[in-house]
Amino acid sequence: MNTKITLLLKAFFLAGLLAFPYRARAQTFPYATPANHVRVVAWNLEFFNDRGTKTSGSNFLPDRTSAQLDLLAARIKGFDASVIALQEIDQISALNNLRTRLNAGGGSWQVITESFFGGLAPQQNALLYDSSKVTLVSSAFVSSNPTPNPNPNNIPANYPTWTFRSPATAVFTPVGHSDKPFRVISIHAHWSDPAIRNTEGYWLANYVASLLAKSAETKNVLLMGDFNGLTPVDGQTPPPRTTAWCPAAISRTS
Amino acid sequence: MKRNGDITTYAGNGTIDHIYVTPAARDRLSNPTSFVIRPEYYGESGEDFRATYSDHLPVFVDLSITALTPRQNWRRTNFGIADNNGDGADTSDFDGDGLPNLLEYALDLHPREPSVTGLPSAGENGGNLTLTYQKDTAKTDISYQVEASDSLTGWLPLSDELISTNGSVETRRAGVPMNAARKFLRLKITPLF
Repeated sequence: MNTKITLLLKAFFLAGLLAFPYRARAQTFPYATPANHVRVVAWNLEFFNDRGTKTSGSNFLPDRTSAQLDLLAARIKGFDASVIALQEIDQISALNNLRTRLNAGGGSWQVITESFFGGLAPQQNALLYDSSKVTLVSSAFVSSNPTPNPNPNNIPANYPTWTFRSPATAVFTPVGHSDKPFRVISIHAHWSDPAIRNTEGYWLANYVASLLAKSAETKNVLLMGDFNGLTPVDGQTPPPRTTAWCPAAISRTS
Repeated sequence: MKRNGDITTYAGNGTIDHIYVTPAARDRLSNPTSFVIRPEYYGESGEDFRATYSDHLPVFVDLSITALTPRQNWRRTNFGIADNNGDGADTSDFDGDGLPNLLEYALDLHPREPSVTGLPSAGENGGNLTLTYQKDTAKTDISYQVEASDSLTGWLPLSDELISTNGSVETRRAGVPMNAARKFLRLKITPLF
């Protein structure tokens, strides 16, 4: 391309940047939260926020910029959500940074993260909640090794413990409705091995069933997150549906 | 990055495979449209949080704080949704038996199969034209009222009497003297909320 034209285009581009400075807009989610409802969102934030530490392969992407983090905060504000079940939180500092941005100008967002968060446990699950909308009753991270299985021979030798991507769970009540508790469980299933994934699912299903068996526990349970089901849009074949994830105690929405 | 993603949309928007709820929680879901995926929402250029893949998208669930009314529960049981629209609407007659859902609900009839058992019955008792019907006192979101008319144009409410009780279901009877050429009785069901 002609050098003069190139320079001219660059000049126009710079002029455009100056004329339309970047601003994070709190675009409201198209579906407003209905009256007398609480909105719960599940969102995998994708290597939040150390992608810059990945140095090769498909994992390499630049870190989010400050402007992008502002945009993320604006998006979350626009959700009008009460609770957000997060996956792939790599840095507690990044999550706290996000909370600071959410609360800038008067927010009430809180985070629930694992106490041993850090280098020991990348890609963690976490929970964000708006304390002006819901009250935290209790929270926990499942850290035991999920060994139960109807067929022990199906447990892979390399089965991971929940210290990797420990499910994050918490019970909330809507503000003004302390008699309406609900539990949110944020999970992230194994990404490559269906056998491990199904074993995780079986364990989680029985975990939910054990909660439901306790009279003092809320019967309102949402198990949400990244189930790592293959999707046609990814150019991959969906796995066969398994009953491991669906004992009688819970049911799939689809 | 996991290209085999979290938000499993086997058939595009709205088909979700990754939220599991207990039956109790499911009863607090307002309707199926509470499950929403909006990939295009993140497709704006220049924004990092767009949908690069099918996963890494937010999914929304709206939980109802207020309990379902008895009629909403009935709709959910019989038509799968609690809302007053479509096949489950109060005015809908899914089975084509001439009885709208509101009457099927009030009289504990099957809304998906034509039925007559349980309909109010006319009779005569001590010189009165009577209407006997069954009232379910557990259905607190409707009212039952027997009305009388000589001409089918003006209707007057009648008091009724309790004949018998079986659980929450009362058998009640109202009557008017047969002192005119014609007498008409009807049972009126009114939604309270």
